[in-house]
Amino acid sequence: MGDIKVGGLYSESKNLMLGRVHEKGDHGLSFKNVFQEELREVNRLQIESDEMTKQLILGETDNIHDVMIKTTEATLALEMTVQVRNKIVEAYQEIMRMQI
Amino acid sequence: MRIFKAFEISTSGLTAEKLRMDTISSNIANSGTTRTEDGGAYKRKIAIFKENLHKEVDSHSGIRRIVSKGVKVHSVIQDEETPMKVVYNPSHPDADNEGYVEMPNVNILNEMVDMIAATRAYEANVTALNASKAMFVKALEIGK
Amino acid sequence: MKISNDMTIQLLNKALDASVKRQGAISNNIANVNTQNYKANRVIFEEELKKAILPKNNAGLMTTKSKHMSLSQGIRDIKPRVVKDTHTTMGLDGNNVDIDVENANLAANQLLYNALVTQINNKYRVLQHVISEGKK
Repeated sequence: MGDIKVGGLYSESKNLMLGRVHEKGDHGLSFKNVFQEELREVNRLQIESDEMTKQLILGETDNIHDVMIKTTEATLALEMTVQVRNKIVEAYQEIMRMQI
Repeated sequence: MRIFKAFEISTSGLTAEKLRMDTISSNIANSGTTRTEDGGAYKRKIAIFKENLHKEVDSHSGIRRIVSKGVKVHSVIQDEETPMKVVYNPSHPDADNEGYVEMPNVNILNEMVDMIAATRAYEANVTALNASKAMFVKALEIGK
Repeated sequence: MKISNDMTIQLLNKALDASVKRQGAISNNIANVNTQNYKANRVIFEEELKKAILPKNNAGLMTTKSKHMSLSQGIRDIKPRVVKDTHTTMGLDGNNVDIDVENANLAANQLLYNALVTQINNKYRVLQHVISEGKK
């Protein structure tokens, strides 16, 4: 099942704050890559949720609980990612202020 | 119209029991009928139930399956096993030469017992349907 | 970007239409359970929608994933419609309404309606969330 992989995002942001910034091209673990991966995951969950909703409408599934679970998961993943992104932007802005 | 499978199954049970009830009512109502269309006395009717199996093709994988969709009334037949009642009543217009009248092979007590069974089965199906409905309603609360 | 172009929202909208029409049809059937020669109403929708959506090798409306324009076109024309059920067996008075079936359909339709409303709420909530939290 699609685990919400925001945990990876958290540890990356921690590394960023502690000054351990990975350079681009270094193991491919740059912040941008990690975040893009999370966005892809969120998008995938949204698409899956839409697909299950379509199945419900067409009468191909009897499992309302599956649809509800998938939708909740997709919504939460999006909300969490948006929140994490906001926090990271805040942190980045904080750091930028510090250097000046 | 397509409804949830659980509903379909319980509903098939309800419809079948209702039909069984109809045959029982018919038997009780006709327990004294000496003239029928086929000539002769009314023969007790029995409803035969059968499992409702459907061949289904899964729209995604294309696999054929046999799926059970509850119960179906196979047929309503006449009871040929139980012997007809023969009553001595020479004054009856349908009496034969020796004064015997052929009466329907309906035993009221048996019909009453069947009636209770049908009623209980009907109620059980209603309970099952309500349980399914409650489950679906609860599922809608996920994520709220 | 038009919000109403999202296919899922369009589908949900249509499905809700169908659900409401269905409620009417079922209520009509229940009201006419004892009417002579009355034939039950049914709403046709899911089957036609399925035909329009599922990819067929020959005359399907399915295009590549990125371009769903012609698909939306096909869906737009599909409306739920009420038809008479002429192939279930009927009683002596010509009436083919089975009260148990109608009651079960009533409950199922209600459930489906609630589920669809929840889904469409979710879709809008996601959009709203992105709009409101996304500001710097």
